[in-house]
Amino acid sequence: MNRIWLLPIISGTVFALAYPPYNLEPLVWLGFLPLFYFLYYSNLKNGFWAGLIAGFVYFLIVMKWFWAVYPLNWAGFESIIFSGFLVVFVWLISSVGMGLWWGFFSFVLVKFKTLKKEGYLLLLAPAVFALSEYIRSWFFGFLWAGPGTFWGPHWTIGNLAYSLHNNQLFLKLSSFIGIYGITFLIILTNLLIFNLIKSKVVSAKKIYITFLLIFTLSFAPKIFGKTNPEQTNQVPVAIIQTKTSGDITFSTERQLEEFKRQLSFLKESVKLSPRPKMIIFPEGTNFFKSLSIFLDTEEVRKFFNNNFSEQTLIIDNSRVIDEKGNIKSRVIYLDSQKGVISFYDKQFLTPAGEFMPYSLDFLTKLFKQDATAFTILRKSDKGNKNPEVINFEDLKTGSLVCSGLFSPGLFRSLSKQNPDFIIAMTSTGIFKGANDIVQQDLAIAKFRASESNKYLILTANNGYSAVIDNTGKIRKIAENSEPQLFTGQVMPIQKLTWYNKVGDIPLIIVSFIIVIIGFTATRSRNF
Amino acid sequence: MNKMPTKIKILLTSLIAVSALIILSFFVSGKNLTGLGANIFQTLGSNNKAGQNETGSQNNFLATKNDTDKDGLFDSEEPLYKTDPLNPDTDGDGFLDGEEVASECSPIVSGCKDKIQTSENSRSLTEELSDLITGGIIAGDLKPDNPNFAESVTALKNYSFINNQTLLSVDDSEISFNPAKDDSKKYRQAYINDLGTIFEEYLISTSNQSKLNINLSDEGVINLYSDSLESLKGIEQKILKLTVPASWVEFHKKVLIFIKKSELFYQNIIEYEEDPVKALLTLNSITSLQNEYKSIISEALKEIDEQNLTLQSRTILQLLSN
Repeated sequence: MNRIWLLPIISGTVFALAYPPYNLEPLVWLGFLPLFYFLYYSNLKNGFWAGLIAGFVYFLIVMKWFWAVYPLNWAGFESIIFSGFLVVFVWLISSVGMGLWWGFFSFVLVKFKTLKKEGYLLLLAPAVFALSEYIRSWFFGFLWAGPGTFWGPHWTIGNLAYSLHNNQLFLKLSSFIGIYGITFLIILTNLLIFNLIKSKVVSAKKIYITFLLIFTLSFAPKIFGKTNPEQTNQVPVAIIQTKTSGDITFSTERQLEEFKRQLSFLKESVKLSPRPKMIIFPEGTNFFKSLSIFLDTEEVRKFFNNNFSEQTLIIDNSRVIDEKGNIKSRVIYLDSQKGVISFYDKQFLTPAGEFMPYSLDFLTKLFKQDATAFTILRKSDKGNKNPEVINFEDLKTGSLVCSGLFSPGLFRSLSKQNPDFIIAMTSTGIFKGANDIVQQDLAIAKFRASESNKYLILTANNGYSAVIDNTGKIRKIAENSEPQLFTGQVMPIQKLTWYNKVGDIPLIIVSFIIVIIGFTATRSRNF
Repeated sequence: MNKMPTKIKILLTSLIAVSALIILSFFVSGKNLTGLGANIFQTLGSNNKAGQNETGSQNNFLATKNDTDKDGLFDSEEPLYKTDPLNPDTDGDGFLDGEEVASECSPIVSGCKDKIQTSENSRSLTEELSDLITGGIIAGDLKPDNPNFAESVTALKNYSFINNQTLLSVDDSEISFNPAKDDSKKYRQAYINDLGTIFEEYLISTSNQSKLNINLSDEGVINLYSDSLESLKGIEQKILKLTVPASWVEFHKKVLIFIKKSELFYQNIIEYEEDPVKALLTLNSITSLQNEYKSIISEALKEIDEQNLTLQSRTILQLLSN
């Protein structure tokens, strides 16, 4: 193989190192340099392949947490050979599918590199990348389509913007231009640096300028960025962090033990000072469902009335059967004095976690594997309504469940209703709490909090629960992923951001226009 | 400008088509976050659901009307009697299979010396229900082509002999217990602490109750239920060994009856092969059994509260108490 093909591989690897959990943030400004160098001398065909390879390598590394789901006994598949095959299949196809859009980006870049007005490429390349990233976030849903697919630009895993989750400047910027705007700036910077150093003679001055640029973008916000002062008027909350396995063969003894631990934490939380206004469980805790095994409705009411002398909101996520006989992953809001006051059914389901994608269903049948256990014990039906803000005393809040965090659009549908703060209930049980995905979840959560200028309460099963402030800073985080009663304080904030109001539409429209002008311009000799 | 290779052209056209669709839906969807695609798929989804329900309501083997060999037994009933669906007189004794069934004779043994069941009491629910339906059809009271046929069969089932109480009925005169020396707090506390542990064991032993979608014809599933039955018998023995203070005697009796009912539940299900109707109807009684468990827990909690008893920490009763 010609050694020049190492360049796209280096690009993919460099970007992956900038991404959580590795967090070598400054690399995000340099990641595309090897690929750009390749494209500079490449034809269209090779350009496309180079982009695809860079993307493929990047997503292979970013999504290596797929391996944590092996073996698939949690999904009811007994055969370790079939489990291994399925994991490799999903990992490779996902990486190729996502890398395809990097290939598209590279192709367009090669096509337009001969534009007479070279400066226009500085706009065009970021615009194409931002657009292709937006489409990529839809495409993952297409790739793993199934009966529970929630269509939309939701799958933002691997978006380069998340590499900047420790950068206060870009977190702040996300409240105006969202992650696609930041992606635009990342590509623009990569291109500017490439233009600086692409000539055969690289002067010391150019090197200094490059370093200064990277330093300014990566480190200055950390040095000069303001720390939010401790605020008053905070609301105490408690999180009952769990470490429940995603395994469906989880024995009844362990389930009972888990439930007793949750009950014990719940009763302990009543004695805390300051007394928490809200007690929140992570995704898939099934606390209310377990409680209903022992107590009837009247006894449940008595249990909360007697144990909570002051009005408290208890929020749980249980797998329930609704009035139409459909299985829902339901967030239940229970007022200790008034009973259940609201609920939200998870819309954004995880392929192969809560529904079987058509392609995997086909493979399961082809290899005569039994998926009955998955259907009985894991399958959920999609909720029909967007999350809504609920009122509890003088507070307004709302919850998203797990993968909902990946979707800026779904999150915005809640944040633009202007709650005081937002809750994200997560579970990485089927990933056995793999560090990669836990760290990526946290990075993504910081951006969601910052985009919407809201405190975010992250409750975790097999991960780290945290309170993230409205600037994307982690105010408090659990010391480990063990079961525990975690407490924190959130600040109600009512001010909406520009991003809350307009979302990604302006950036996508502007990028689209830039691309259209670029395509039209190829016909003009003067452009 | 470089010339674009054909393969790349095709790939790019596909990517652009997908992009155009996504961008178009983005603009069309407006306020709807889930977009155009979602609306289309939601509509399709709801149609499918409706279709499934229609099919579901017709999916009753009793409602199948075909009687290919015109012997008075529907094709779907022939396997129940092990008769040939293409031969109106399987045993060749000159009587139609349907006639033999209606007169309680075996359609697979020549002549009528062989009653299906000689004693009324030893007949299974499945056999009784089948006979009633067949008899009703031959008498003309039940018409398989009537749209309400399935409902009539259900009514027949409910009216005649089947209800959850009789399926899980326990003779309370069989209940015995060891009385405690006195009704002191020491005995009461010891009793409820022991019982609290037993409640947890019960839950663990019977966790497969909730797996309602299981296939009862699967041997592995039946083995699971057999294991539960064995555990329940062990639990019953433990309860019988408890010394019961006077103020808990009535409660204790309820608990024992409940455990015996639970044993019957599992016994009926294990006998699925012999009497599938009884097994399936027993499964229907799961909710009443679960409610009874809750009611026992409630009563225990109430008594514990009233008697001001101290419970062992981290037992389910202690955690659920006030």
